[in-house]
Amino acid sequence: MTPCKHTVGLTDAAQATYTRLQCLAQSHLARGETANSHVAIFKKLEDILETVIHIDPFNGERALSGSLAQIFRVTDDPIRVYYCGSADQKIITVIRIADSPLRTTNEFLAKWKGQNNEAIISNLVRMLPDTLPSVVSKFN
Amino acid sequence: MPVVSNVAPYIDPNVQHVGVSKLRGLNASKLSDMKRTLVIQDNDSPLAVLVRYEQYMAIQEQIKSLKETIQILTDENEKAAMDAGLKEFSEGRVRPLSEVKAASRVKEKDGQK
Repeated sequence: MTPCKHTVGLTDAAQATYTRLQCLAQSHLARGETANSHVAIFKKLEDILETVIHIDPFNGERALSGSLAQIFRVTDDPIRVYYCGSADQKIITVIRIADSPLRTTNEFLAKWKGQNNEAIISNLVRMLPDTLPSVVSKFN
Repeated sequence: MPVVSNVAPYIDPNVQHVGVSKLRGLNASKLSDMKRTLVIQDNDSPLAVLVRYEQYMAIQEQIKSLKETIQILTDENEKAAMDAGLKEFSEGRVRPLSEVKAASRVKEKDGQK
């Protein structure tokens, strides 16, 4: 089944990462280095933006949690694409493109070692971004 | 040491505690019709939990999503990058991917000249 295409937009930051990865890939392709890792990474990003992201983009399984629940993500190691949008308007806006994997769970869990669940939750609540309500209301 | 909490305990009505002998009565059709989560226990000691595959996968997805969200919110660089992207989005600083690609094609052609 061909996925229904959405209009994809990139924020300035996402565009900067896209262009950087594209330049890196093109410089290697120009030298005939088709097997270079930068070429492979850019191909992954292109595949995500052209195909993967369009397949059921707002499925809950792709959503982050809590205060970031309106943000969805697609990953193909080491590429991570975070986006939001509207299924009705068929719009996808890429908030961020990252080209490195997230730090492992153990690393950040070490920071919370010795704290009880309620303290951890209180700390996390204090970290919630302020920008989200305005962003979420954009599509509602 | 007992866990002291002022939060009301959550009791899942879909969980059923059964004895080990219940396992012997299960077959493919009974498992596919299973609506409740079974806690298998022996002499009141819980030994294992039997959940539907779809439910197990949904739980895994939720855990993955929670972990990733916590990782983003607790990592200064990740959080700053996400906040910056969200700010740009709320300010309308968004360009269609097709335009970005068209611009890079023009740039590439200019470079070849």
